[in-house]
Amino acid sequence: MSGHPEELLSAYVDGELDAERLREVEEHLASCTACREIVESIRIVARNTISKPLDEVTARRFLQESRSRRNATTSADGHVPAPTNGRVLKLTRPSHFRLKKPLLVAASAAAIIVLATIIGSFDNSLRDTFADPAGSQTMGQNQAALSAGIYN
Amino acid sequence: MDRARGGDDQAFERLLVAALPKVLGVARRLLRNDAEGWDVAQEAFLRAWTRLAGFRGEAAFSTWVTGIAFRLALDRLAAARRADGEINENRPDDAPRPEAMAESRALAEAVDVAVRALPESERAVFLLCEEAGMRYREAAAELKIPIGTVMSRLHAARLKLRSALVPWWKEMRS
Repeated sequence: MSGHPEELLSAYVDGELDAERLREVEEHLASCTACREIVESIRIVARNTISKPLDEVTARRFLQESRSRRNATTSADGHVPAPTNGRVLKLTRPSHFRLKKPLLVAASAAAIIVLATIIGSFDNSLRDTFADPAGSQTMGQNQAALSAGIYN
Repeated sequence: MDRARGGDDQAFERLLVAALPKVLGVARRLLRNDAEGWDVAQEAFLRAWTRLAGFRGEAAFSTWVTGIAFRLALDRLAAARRADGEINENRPDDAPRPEAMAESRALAEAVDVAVRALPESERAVFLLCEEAGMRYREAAAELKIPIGTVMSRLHAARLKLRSALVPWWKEMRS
């Protein structure tokens, strides 16, 4: 390896080098004090950079605000991720669905009325047909004509 | 994790508390603003909570939620840049100024100031790899940049931190 493997030193500390590069860097470090110092400094900075645990008051304050935001989200759009600890949570539909509900009811009612009208008129026509001997005869004649057409 | 995913709020809050230092650290350092960092961290946990059922557990919960916070913070930085109409690093930083830093002996504060002083591109890589604990390929995917760029930016960031923290070497080594 010629020169100092500057950028590889970070990858070396992070365990991101492949076997060949790792061997090269290790060989270089064995004979280069300057690079060893850089590696050591990277490790020291890393140790001191990671955020320390929060104090209890701050963590508690964060948690309380987080609860409020989650509650607000639940009541705003009905979102509930899943049932909790055996508690029965009321699952509500999303607001866009709620807006369409009256339309759904109206469409269902209209469909029932149309269906009832069709059944009623069909029922009346059957009753008229069987109550009218002429109609019955006409039907019989039609059937006879149809059968003749098929079999002739 | 399974209990949290099943809707156990207490289990979720235990995960939250464990991940909080990392999430808050990344958000406030990337944004260079404690109040905004706090807000982004809150938003990140809220999003994590609403998407918990879809979390496959391929990464640790803390890494996952830190990634959410990171993206939210980047969005805010981009929005601030659009609002300013220029690309700059001049967003107000509520961390102590270098003068104050010189007076302060608190190592944690010195580290904080040094990290916040990094250029945004280096700060982003540094926070993802160092604080969020992402592998290079994960950080590259997160930032949509080549792994080689992750390596060079990370190393540049570390060298700058090393220089900035020279006055605290003795304390850091102990």
